[in-house]
Amino acid sequence: MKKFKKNSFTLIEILLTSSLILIVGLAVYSVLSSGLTLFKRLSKPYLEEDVSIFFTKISKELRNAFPYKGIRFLGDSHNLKIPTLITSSQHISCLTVEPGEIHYTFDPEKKEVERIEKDLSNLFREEQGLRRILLEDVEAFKFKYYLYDPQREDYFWVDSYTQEGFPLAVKLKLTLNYEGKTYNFSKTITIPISE
Amino acid sequence: MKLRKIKSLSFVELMLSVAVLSLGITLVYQGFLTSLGGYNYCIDYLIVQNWLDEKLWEIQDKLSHYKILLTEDKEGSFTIGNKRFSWDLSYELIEGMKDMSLYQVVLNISWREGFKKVKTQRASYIIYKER
Repeated sequence: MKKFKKNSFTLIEILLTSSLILIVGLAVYSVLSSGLTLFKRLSKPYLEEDVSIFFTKISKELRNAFPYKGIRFLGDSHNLKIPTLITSSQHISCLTVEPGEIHYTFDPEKKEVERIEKDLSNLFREEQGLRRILLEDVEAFKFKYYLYDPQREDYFWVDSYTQEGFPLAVKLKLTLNYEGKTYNFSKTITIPISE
Repeated sequence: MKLRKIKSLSFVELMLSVAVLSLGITLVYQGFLTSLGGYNYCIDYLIVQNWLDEKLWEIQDKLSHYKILLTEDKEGSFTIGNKRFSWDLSYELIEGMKDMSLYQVVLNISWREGFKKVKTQRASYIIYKER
């Protein structure tokens, strides 16, 4: 009888292969786990980015604020009206920069910060203007106004501004809530025309 | 009876495949880590920029209105989440006149991003005018 040679793995080969499969398996698991973490992080809303864009927008409008007959700077802790330059979007084919009023308002019930833009035409006709929600899930939102008292020769913060002219600066304090975590932001913007 | 030869991977081929697969996984993993690091850096950078704006405004307010800076205005640290940020401030009088002074303020901030130490700087000129 002819001797039959079996082609099979030796014990050492099997042990080596098992170890390699284990190592590769762990590596694959680790990559999947990292991928999932990365996906979760990237799916999260960019709170810092949204707030940064919001701050940039309001900073630009406050720095462009100027006295204009018929539009006053008015503010309390939840509302701010600024006479400033706006890009009129009434006619898409012909965008124009003109004086207007920007109104920022915080609704504590809806937890939203809304921006209302009114050009001269909207103001004259007492129309609603262009409304846009800029921030959602806002826990707290507060404006403060920086003033100078020449009699006391002192600088101080107040919660509302109703007098003529402009305050020296406006401070915004913002608290956002995301997945049970609270995020606080603050921004102080100088109004150049007030100096 | 004719013995049929079974075509299969040899041990060396198997080991080579595993090595190539491991290399691929390492590269993918590295890519994930780099993306996560980049994302974290962007978020931290935005936080730092906003903090720098606020701090510079505070310094500007003190120097331009009261012409004084306290010791606690010159260095310190703060924590956001589990990340610690350290900062220091230096300022010098560029030109001083009777009722007006010009200062240069340099604000440095540093923090750890993974294994790297990241630093950023903001400089500004501040004028003090007597009212």
